[in-house]
Amino acid sequence: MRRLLLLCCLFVTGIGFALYNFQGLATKGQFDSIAVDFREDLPKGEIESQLKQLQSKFGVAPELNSKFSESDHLYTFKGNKALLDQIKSQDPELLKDVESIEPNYIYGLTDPTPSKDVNEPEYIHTASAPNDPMYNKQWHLHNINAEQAWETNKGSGITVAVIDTGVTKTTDMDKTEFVPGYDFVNNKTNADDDNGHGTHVAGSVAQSTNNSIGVAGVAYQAKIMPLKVLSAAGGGTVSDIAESIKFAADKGANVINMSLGGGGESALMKEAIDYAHNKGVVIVAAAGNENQSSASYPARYNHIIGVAAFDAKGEKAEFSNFGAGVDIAAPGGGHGSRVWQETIDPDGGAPQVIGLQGTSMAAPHVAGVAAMIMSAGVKDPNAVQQVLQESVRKIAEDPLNHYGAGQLDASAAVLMAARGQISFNDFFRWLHENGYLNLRFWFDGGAVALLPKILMVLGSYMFAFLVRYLFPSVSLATGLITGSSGLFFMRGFYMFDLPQAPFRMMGSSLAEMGNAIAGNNILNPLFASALIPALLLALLWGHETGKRFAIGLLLGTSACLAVNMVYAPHVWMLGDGLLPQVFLGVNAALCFVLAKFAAKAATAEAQA
Amino acid sequence: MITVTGLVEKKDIGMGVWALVSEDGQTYELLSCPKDLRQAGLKVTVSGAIDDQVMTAAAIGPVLAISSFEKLS
Repeated sequence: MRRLLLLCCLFVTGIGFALYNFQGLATKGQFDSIAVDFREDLPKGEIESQLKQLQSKFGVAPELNSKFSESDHLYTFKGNKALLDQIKSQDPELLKDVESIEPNYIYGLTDPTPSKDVNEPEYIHTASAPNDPMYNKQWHLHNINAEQAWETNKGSGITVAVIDTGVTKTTDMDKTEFVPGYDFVNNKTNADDDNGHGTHVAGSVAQSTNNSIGVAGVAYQAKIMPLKVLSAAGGGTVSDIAESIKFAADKGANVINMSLGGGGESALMKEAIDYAHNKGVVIVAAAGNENQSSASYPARYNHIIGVAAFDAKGEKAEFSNFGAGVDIAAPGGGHGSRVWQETIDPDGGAPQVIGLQGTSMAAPHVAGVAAMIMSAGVKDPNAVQQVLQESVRKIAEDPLNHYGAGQLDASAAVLMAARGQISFNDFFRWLHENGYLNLRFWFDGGAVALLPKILMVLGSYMFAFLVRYLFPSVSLATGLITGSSGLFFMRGFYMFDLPQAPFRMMGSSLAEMGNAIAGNNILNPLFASALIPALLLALLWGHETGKRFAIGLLLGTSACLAVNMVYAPHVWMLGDGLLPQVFLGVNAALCFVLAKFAAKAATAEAQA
Repeated sequence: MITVTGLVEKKDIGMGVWALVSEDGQTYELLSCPKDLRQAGLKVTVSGAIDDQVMTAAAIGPVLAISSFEKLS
């Protein structure tokens, strides 16, 4: 009985904790006003007396929501959740007269700034957003799904060389790490900015984020290598730029951003670019701002990722080059919208957050995401470019190549980069995607043999990783869970007047189902073998999803049997000890081999 | 050496840049634009050379290195 109570308590606590942390749709909305909708049939005098009462009792000033809401009897007034609760509990008379009284949620985007030609949306600060006060203005970071990308990756361990007018460590660069750079214009080691362009660009790459100052940056844990090649006026020589590219490659930069363009083809530049590329450096450049078909140099060189710009609506910026040499598109402003970062005021050097537009502003978004991809473990520059281009939001109709492969998506890019990489982060991503990262799941696991379950999950992950690595087109999630551990928290689920066996079944892996009904720990050799998954595979082979389920089931069962072999080798009729161990081991191996061949065949079939 | 007639414009790209838009629609970047020319809408004839050894933050078109100019308005 005590065990039962304990299980119930754990379960309820688990559910409660999960629910408490679950942000439903409602909590995502923020509100600072309350909407009260009086019944349509209520006489005007009655409404007025209710409004007066609200005013005197709670000190609020209700107003018609708009000139159109008089007939709807819809009023709003300033107030928060506490006030809403107070009104609901203390004014029963009011509740009788209203159709609803509820939070007046602010949904999604606020009104666009009216003076601009393009809606530059301002976003609401959500709980998961960084605390930089002007982050809500950065439509360009929201656009590329930076927040979702930050859940797993912030570009740490990667150095981005910013070849530009220099970079000044402004107030909102306080947490951004710098590595030594160089000023090729004035030939000195300090590469401070005297124009404002380079600092803005570096801000897009790695502005200090979550530091309660200013704005955010894309890959804010990446390091910046400031390389000044452009003068205060904004121009620089091909020779200085070529030299700076080699400098970056030699000093360990992983990514180079060049928000600059112009001039003709140059053997010197070409050689420097090839040199850096061969050293494994990803090179990103702005496509140029002539609104012409074909990117300017250096973006049009081979081995350079040329970046076009789009505005806050996702339309091609009016100035952006397009056509040949454009590999991808990123937010760069246009039609009145701007990219917001901190930079210096060229007159006096004071820090300021300003909005700029240009393909110069688009390129560093790509450079930042390239840093994240590299941080996730993809090191080859061609592979990084492939991930960037394959993870984009594709634009269906793009006959003039305004967008290259499509529009940059940081979140999709880091997910794709992590795929095929075995890492701590990847493991957690896998847990999350397969439903294992669920508080209730682990919470109740404590009561139902947590350790072997963890081993089974780990085993499944290893197997899934191997299969994913060898046969990337097969998806196996559901089968893996059923085969390895089941929804094991369900085993601790008890309800009055209901038989518990069905919950035990749901909480069991396939191999344990034979003994789940009986409720003991002795495995049934019929279930704890390769037999059922193999039969299912044969039965479901003609069905696409069914086949994948069966392969997953084989892998999961294999993991489960292997763990049981070591941890609890009790098999009905075989007793315990060596005999059941051999039985379980052979069956685990059978399952795995079968899964491997099935996956191979399935992949071949899918590719045919 | 080329001679271009057109209007001076301040282009809102990056930190802002002075440009000469010729009568046939070609945009030239006036890097290190002389103070006398920094006036949007000014009609001028400029003599100079295209500098193709220079790259710029603005990347709005060929850089026209001015040797002389004449204001027409």
